[in-house]
Amino acid sequence: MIAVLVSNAIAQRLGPSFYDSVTQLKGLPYLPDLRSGALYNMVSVARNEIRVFVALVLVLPLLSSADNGASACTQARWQSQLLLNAAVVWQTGCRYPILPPPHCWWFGRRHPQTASHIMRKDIYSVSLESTFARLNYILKNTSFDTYPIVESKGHPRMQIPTSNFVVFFCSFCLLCPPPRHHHHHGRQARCSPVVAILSQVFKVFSLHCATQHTNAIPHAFHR
Amino acid sequence: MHSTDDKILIGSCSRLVLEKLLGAHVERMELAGFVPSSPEIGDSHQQQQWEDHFRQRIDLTGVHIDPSPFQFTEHTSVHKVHSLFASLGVQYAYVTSVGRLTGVVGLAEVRAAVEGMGGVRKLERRTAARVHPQLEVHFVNDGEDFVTSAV
Repeated sequence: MIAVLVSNAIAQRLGPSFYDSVTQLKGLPYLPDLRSGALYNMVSVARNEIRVFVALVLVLPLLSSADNGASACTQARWQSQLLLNAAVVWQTGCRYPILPPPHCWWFGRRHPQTASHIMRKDIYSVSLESTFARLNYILKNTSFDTYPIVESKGHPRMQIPTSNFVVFFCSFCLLCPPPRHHHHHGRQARCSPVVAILSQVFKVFSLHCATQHTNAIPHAFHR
Repeated sequence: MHSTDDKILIGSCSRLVLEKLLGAHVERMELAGFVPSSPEIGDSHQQQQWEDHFRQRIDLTGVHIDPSPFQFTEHTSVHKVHSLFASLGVQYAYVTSVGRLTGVVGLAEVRAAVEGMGGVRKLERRTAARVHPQLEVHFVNDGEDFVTSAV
């Protein structure tokens, strides 16, 4: 068993495997496996530890003075919680305290890398305000498969095109109200015609949405 | 922390669709009688007219937009990003912060992070991007001046 464990450890150290190297040589998309400790950014540890230390220095006197009474204790707890939240906000740069897992923030020496550390910031995006010249420039100078569509704040909202099918059926339903039941005084006969028409329209619209979700998956995004 | 320009991500569009959109605009201009002047001849008036028509805003009505591209927040750990890329076979994903687009993570970045190559290796931009021959539109200064004026 020990031999198996040792051989497994050696094999993992000697990666990538034969099959992975073939994938790499062919230039196919290849994603190596995760190793322990591979994704930790040791550079920012010192700065974060200083911040944690400052937070502790601020909080500990409050906790020690909490022996006077129940109200003081509650107050101290409340204040310490506030200070802790402030420290977390300070550390993560978020407006709201988002606590990372404790093993990597509070007592740990490692700070994990996040998506903000590895992301590319030169984004070629298309928006409603983009011109054809900009589009031409983007398409000529980049070769990405897809481009993000963005909307600037303060500009008019992008209108989602309604398909002709929905427009046709909605107008059809509005023009032809459902038949009334004269002999049978059911629930449908008693409601006003406007409500009946609206219900019919919603029924048709929901039917359309259901069919669209089941069989109309765009072909271009099957990659 | 946030970028100065608030770009709210509403979807993504494939390159093919955008190329078709540009191609249709070029066709429309050619039908209207506007011909692009070659840089050698140097007809400045004709060139100006051609460029003026390229300053029009694009019309995305009817263009198919994928409303739900893969995206995660800035604070997503690389471990989670790796799991997403490995399990779903994703080639790229957008990074958002409260709905605003702040960056893009591709397979190359995740690979660089996992392999521990130090800093972020920038994705080499392929200089010879494949463009449909119809879209080979010539500008005097290669459309660079539009970058500052346009979005």
